[in-house]
Amino acid sequence: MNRLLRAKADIQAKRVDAGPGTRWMTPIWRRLESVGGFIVVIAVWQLAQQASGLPSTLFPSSLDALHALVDLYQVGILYEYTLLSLSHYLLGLGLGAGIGLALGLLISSNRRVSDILMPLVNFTYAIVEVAWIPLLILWWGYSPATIVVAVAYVVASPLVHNIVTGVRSIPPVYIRAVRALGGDRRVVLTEVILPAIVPSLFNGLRVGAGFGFRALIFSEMISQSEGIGYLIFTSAASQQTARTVAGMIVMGALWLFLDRMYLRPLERMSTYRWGLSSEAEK
Amino acid sequence: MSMLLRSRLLWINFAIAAIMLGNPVLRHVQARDKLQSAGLAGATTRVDVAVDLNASPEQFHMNRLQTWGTMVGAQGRRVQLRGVTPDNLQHIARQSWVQGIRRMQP
Repeated sequence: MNRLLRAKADIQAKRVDAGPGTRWMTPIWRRLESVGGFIVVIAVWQLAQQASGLPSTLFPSSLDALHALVDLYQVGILYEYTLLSLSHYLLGLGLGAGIGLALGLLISSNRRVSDILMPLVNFTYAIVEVAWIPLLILWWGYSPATIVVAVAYVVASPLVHNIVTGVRSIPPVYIRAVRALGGDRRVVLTEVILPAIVPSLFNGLRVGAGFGFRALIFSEMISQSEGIGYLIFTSAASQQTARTVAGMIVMGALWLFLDRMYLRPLERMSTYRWGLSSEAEK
Repeated sequence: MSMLLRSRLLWINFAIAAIMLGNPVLRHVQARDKLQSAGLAGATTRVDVAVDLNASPEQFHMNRLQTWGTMVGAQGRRVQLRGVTPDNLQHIARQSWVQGIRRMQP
């Protein structure tokens, strides 16, 4: 039995260690790998612009975009708009996460509530945030509230689905065991349900947060006179296409930063902690 | 504790917090210098000012400046504002894109 376990551990260690042809790679090379795609795209983009002969107002080069970024920073727009967009986004993310969690728990707490609310949630899942924006403008005007609500709506939808799925996948024996030991509904919620749905919660939050960025851009384009989404939209209209690209780069970089620094590690930590992924997958 | 200090996330969060907290302090110091050099540091009533920007004014700058005073003209990089309160003077001077402020001659 011990020999069998040792052999299994050896195989696992080899899997972690060996990945075909990866041993020779230094950590620096591995880091470069993650930006390799960007370097190739930037190089191809620059070459394509030069080969096309199109004016930079129609097809800005990567250098034009870089100049636009520096210019936007110098005139103070980049910092102000980024802060503004980020604050709208984080408020919407927080609100959406709170609503999604509460609604998900409510739906999964009772079969009858689920029968009533789940079709409604599924119905709204298909209605993209852009469709809501005209109504949100009517209700909240051209104010930050419109953006925050649009982001929250988009964040909450996948979260509700993930939480309902997470709660339903809890083996009923755990809940019965806590009840048999005298635990009430609160104990079941705090000791069984909430810990068990953590991986689903972070997974849904990450998906929703990604959609939330799109909602942010759409709603800023339509309902705001400031923010990165507004910058992207209006710069193209005034033939400052390099600024449009710069705005897109800022949005992409912001999302990558948030995802890499906070969302992905949280999701990984939770799935690893709950035994849903192996060390090799890390 | 040592594991926590080795965490990349912790240091990145520290750096973000330092930028977020340091920036307003830096702006405040710069604003004080700008107002002092213009002789407006002790203004207690509404004043008319000419604001010099570090670039040609855009819609963004106009929108912001209009919230702090009544715009009466713009020439090159200079924007003229009337009836700016002492509080709004501080706001204007704190902007990184404001190079200088001068009292407008009547």
